[in-house]
Amino acid sequence: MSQVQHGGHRERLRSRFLQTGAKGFQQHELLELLLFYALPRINTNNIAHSLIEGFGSLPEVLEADISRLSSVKGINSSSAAFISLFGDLCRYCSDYCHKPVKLSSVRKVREYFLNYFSSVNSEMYLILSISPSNDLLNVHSFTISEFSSISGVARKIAEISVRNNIRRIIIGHNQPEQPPMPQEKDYELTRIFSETLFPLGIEICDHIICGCGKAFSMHENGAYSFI
Amino acid sequence: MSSTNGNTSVKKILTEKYVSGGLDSLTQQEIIQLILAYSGCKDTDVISMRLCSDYGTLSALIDADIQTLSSEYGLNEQAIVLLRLISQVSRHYLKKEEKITCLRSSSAAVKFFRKLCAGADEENLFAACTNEKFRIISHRTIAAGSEQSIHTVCRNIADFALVNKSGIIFIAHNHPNSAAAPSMSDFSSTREISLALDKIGIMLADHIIIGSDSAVSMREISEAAPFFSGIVSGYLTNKRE
Repeated sequence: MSQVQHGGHRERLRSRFLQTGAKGFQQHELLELLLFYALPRINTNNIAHSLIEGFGSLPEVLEADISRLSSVKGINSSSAAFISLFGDLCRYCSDYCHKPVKLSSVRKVREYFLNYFSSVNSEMYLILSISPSNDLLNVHSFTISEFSSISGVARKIAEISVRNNIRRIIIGHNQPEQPPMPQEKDYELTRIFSETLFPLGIEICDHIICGCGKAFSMHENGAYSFI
Repeated sequence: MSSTNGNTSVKKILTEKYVSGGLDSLTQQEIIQLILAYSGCKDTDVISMRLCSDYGTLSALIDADIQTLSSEYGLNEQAIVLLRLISQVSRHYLKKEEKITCLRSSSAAVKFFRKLCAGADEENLFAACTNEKFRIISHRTIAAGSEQSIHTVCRNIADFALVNKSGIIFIAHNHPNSAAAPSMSDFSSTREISLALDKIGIMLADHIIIGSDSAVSMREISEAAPFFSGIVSGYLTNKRE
């Protein structure tokens, strides 16, 4: 019986997380969510609480070294390694692209994309959602195959924008092998985007094309009249 | 069955590699494969290869659309939650701020408690106790969520201060999704707590209220002054009318 309850608890916590993100979560709940992967079939609640109490906060748990983590009751060396790995991955991603940034000028937007794409060798698209005061709110990445049929994309972007309550977006396009010049399909894409999203109250601020280590802003260069 | 065994050995080999050589010893594809293995996905090698060639890096992968990941690449819910978790934690919890160890001013206290409130969607009451030079000895959540009687709260705070042998206490609570401006009951509870602590020789240094995008130190509000018993010397505030 208790097995069944645990299963249900994990499912519930996961689906709640997918719906709301970290916003509605306490630190120990996020940690519990993480412990599910390292500790199958164990009640993780107490362990999550004792980790938070022992180290102070979630960031401190994620910064602790493996030997200190494994001294906590219920944590063995492999689960300690997993927690430490997770912390490293978060720090890696936060170094790359998840720093809180204010995209207040075209130059900053170009730098953001260049930094993001510096390690990406494949052609891909990013959609940034930004607040009215130009703070970066969220990033959505798309593979090139998702953008192959334009009409499908417009639908998808609309769906994501509505689902995430997005008001303003910046499009970024990485084409590592080519110089950053807008091509026919870039104009087409921008046009379709603004035509689809404008009626939904979503504003497209810019379309940045990155390639060969350089970035081109369609807004700055007047390549498209953004509304 | 074979895939579970496969995952176990992938997890073992790659985790050992990580423990001995750190994150830099793993390639992007190995990192993605390890995440999939922990999530109990099948065919971790094939899928991680596809994800790696389409998204390039982990940092782009964690921002990918959830539905695409499950329908195009066959990731299960566990894997998606783990990727999302990396994205959310790296964004909301690892903002590089210096660690606050000393609550010498109201602005330091606001910063310190704002960090504790990160991500909370219900009202929480925190307490921090310091030594006479305002260096933090310990902090704790006194109450979370449901309303507790003021007496229980007072007793818990007093207990916390006495256990830590501290003479100065800071309390803070958050107003999720609303402004920081103190309500009438915030004034009265400040009064009650301050008086109760005063009797056992503990000073309530400040009561911080963290709103969704602002914060208030009640010591800074002159109309709140009568609600505190006594004055803290050495604590810097920006007095305002």
